[in-house]
Amino acid sequence: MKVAVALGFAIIFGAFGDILLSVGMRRTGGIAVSSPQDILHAAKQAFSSRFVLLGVCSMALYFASYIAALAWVDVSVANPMTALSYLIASIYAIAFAKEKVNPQRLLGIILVIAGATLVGLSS
Amino acid sequence: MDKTTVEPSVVGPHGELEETGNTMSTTSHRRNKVKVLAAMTVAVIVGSFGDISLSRGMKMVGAIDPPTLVDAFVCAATNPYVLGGVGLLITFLFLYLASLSWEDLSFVLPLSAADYVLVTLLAYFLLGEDVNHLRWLGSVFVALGVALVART
Repeated sequence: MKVAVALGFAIIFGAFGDILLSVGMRRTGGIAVSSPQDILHAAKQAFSSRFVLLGVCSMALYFASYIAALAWVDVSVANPMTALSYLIASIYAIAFAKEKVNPQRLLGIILVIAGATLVGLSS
Repeated sequence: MDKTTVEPSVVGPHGELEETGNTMSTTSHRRNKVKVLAAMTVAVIVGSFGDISLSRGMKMVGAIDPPTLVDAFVCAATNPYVLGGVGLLITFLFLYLASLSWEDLSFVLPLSAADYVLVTLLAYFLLGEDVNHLRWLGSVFVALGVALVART
């Protein structure tokens, strides 16, 4: 039960993190790193985006839930389970970003659900 | 996945650069893909070892219960395997973010899907986890699924 709750949080925060980071980084534009100073500049550029900041916070919560789960279960169980966050990200993409549901994406979601179920049954 | 599908999402200074010439933008686009491929190969390897290190560390910390939450946090935050794992995953995150700034998620995410199989492989060989047929099949399904979900 504890494992399910921790992994559930990891999946939800992981999905939010991915969505926010993706939106944020595309908005701030390309990173060009040619000297060590550029890394600092790139970090400043990225963190100036509210989306990136929220994405990083979400990823931190994902991370806390994930490592809590790792204290209880095998990493070969916890890691594939976190892929269910793509199920949430896809629901977001289809419902809010109005992306089309193509057969490829549907097959991908089915495979992720099937895979996570198999991994769950294996432990 | 071609220039035409990527361009509408590219705004600002990047967009102005791409308008300089068709052949030039196609070449720079291909160079971006090679760059992302290299970065994500390193990212997946680094990230997988990070997961393995974290798992080993957290198994040392042991089961976390609400009354001992603070103790568990201190224990985890001072464990060398947990710290090492965090460091590796930060490296992964940097490479992943850089890749996302160069290419669309639909190109970057399928590459990162290899992580699911690599973590299971490393968990089996390095941590001696009991990975049965069901779990192997499950992790391969998940990796293929993630690759397909993003590849639109």
